Amino acid sequence: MNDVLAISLQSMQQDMARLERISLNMANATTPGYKREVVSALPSNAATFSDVMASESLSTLGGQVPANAAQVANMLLIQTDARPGTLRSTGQSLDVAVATPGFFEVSTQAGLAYTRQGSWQLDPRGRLVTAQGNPVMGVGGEIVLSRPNPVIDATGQVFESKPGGGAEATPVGQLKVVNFDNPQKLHRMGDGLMSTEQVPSQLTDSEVQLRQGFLENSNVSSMHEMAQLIQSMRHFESMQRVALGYDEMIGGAVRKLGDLS
Amino acid sequence: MFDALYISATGMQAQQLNVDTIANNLANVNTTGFKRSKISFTDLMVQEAGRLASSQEEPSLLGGGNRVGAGVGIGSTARLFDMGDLKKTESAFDIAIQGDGFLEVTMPDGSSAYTRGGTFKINRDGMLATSGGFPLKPSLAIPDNAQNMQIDSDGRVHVQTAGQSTPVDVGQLELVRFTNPTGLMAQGDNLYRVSPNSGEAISGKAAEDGMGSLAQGFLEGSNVKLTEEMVSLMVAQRVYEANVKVMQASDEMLGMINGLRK
Repeated sequence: MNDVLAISLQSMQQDMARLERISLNMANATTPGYKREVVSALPSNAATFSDVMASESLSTLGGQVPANAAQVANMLLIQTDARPGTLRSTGQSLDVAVATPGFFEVSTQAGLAYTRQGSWQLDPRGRLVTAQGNPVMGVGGEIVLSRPNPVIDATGQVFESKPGGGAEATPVGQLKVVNFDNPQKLHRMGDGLMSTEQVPSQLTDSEVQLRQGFLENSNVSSMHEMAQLIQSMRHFESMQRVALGYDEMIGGAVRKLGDLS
Repeated sequence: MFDALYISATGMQAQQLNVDTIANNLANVNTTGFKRSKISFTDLMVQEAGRLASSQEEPSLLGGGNRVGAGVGIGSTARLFDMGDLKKTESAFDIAIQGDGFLEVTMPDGSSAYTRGGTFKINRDGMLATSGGFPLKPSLAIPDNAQNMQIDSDGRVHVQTAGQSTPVDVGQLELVRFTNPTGLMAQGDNLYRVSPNSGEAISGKAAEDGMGSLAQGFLEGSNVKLTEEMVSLMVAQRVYEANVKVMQASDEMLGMINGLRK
């Protein structure tokens, strides 16, 4: 008899989780390089836990092996929408966007991380670092510059700027752009960084297309998110009505059945 | 209780700060030598609660890999030092720097600050100083009876005094540059101070080694671009609005939960 209440409770929880992702996406609508997260719920009883585990492309967020069928409905898939965002011109020489699939490699205290967020700075030693101060890796290690405003070409070669305009002929380094066999399976670390156990494969010059002076916008579209917001809200509302109605029904039943006269 | 509320709050806060920055940039559109600031946002730490509390094996709604997004944070606020347009003023005391360099200024406490030029004057000690009265470094004494001052592009200062036919060389202005000028700390009055992010000042001569040259009779306009700021303002306002909507929705949902029990 608790099934109806349990199911409506579960789908209400799912709607709340969905709203949480919407709010996360909306909060990051202006974060460069941000990729939106999409939640989808698995239909109850339709998939067993092992089915979900088997489907490689989806990062499951389901719990442990469910004890019963009702718990299967608990499972929500949170996927990253990896579609590229549009590019925005900033005119800053240390803003770099990847126009093709791929990630920059960043060295952090927790090891190597990957990002598509290219708003960089120079640190006091002249190293190319992210906004958080983690060095950006080139093909041959960190990239150290002696003066601001380097020139970065489409393949990621970094040229020191020459005093009085123009750029030096020999590059100081080349930005490392990598990709993964399964880019869906990257863990977010915050600060736009991703980590993974996968071995990155370095992209060749012909596969890389970098744009200096541009940043990649987040791929959040507010229309999409608002539509999802409305949908989740209304679904939540109807599930609440279901719970209320069921409660009334039980209440009526208890009252009537207990009425002996 | 319900993360969506707090997440959209971070979104609103971030956009508020964004609007603050835009407002400051727009307010200084006509300020000589003003450098616009830019905020960059990043997504906040996403904890993997499953990894943090690995001892707890209880399945939660979002399961083992429980990722908690905490919203949006401020990646950095940086001053952008791209050049503003040079405006001709014909005044001998207006000095602009064409290039990356900065002029060094001695503050009353003996420390150094840096400026991109502006309208200078002769302070009460007879030194060439900024409009705020802080003398330049190396200090240049301008004689009382000076009639004319000429500054060459390499920083040499010549002064013609009354009763003299040829100008006298009174010294040379030096320029400094920084590895990371965006890391400089703005101090107001168009002055900047060294910060741990900017690196130490690298001194040199004007018109050499990429320092830039001095331009007398010119002022550097602000580098604020009106269209760019307006577009950012519109985006910021809309994103703020969207975050408010999400927050309202979360609130309504919580209200409905309370409504479950009549």
